[in-house]
Amino acid sequence: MRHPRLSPSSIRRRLVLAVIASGLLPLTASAHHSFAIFDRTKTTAVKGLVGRFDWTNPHVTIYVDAEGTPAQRYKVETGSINALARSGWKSDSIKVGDKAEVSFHPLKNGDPGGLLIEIKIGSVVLTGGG
Amino acid sequence: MTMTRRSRAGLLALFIAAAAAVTFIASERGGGPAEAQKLGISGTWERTPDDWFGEDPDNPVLPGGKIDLKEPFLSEYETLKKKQAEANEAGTPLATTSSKCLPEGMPTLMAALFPIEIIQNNKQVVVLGEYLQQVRRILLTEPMPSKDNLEATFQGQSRGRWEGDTLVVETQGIRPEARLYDVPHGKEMKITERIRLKDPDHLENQIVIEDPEVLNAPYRFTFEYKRSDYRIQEYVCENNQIVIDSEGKTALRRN
Repeated sequence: MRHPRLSPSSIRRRLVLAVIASGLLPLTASAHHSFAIFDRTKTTAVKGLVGRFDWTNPHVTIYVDAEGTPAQRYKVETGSINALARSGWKSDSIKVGDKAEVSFHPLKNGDPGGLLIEIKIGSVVLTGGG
Repeated sequence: MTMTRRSRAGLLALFIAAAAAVTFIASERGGGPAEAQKLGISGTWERTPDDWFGEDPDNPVLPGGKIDLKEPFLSEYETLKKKQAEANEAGTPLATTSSKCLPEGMPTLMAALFPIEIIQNNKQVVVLGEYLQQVRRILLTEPMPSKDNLEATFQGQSRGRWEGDTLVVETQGIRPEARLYDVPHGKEMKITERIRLKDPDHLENQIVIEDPEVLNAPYRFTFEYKRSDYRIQEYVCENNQIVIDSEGKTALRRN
């Protein structure tokens, strides 16, 4: 019997998680721009609501509105649609309004944002890459 | 042991199915046995081994080791590398063709950072690059345009011929900004590729770059690919978030 709390999208997310956990994540480097705008020696973590999700090339971007006063919007970049789709992401893997925990390598210039390490929505973890 | 009519029929069906499967695989790979060698390069290919790119995407490994540049190109290249390192340290990397969503061009397309697909017929071999939807046409039945008619493009003009099981391709007329890992090149640069199957699922591309204006000696390297069942997808650069300042330094758009 289907669990009443599992919506089709959450089932899909579980599948995404399963795909990622199975180690099928391709190690495709980002061709579009240098990683040097990010500080890959540092990790920042924020909790908040997804305010915008751009499923676009050259990069997929997640905007997270963090809790706190004043509210702060973080712009978190990850790989291309192509690379992420190969590792199990879909255009509806993340939705506006999702409650998310995001970790990323911050921008060196101090702007709020960075390069996605992983995003956790409920029990689902999506890993950045590509 | 005697074979019943039913089991004979079953065996026959199995044989027909197996023959059909072999025929199907042959047609997927490009046709009948006579053409198999030539058409066998059709398909989607990804670079191998998996760690070919090296560890730092901002410091890619030159595929043929150190490159022997003439002056003033050597000094210009070293100055650029120094400027790039400083800009990277500051978090404002210098813009590249990629950060403007311009194609990689030749020979970088064949480095297959993203997968490539080869499609061919008797007149041309087409290489499709997933990244930025690049298209490269290798014409098999036409001569290279004369120097006066060679307009520079990102992928250049490619002409190919089969030498036994090897597709030999010459490419000329490549735009100056289409650089292999920032290495400059001259107007007369000629790229020669020798592409052949090592086995049905492994492709080898031996590349020689001749550029007497810029290089002291021809530069040689080999790209190896493995066959992939991946279906190449659309890649439209519709939402570039990179902004470039007047010094050519990049940042992520703020909004």
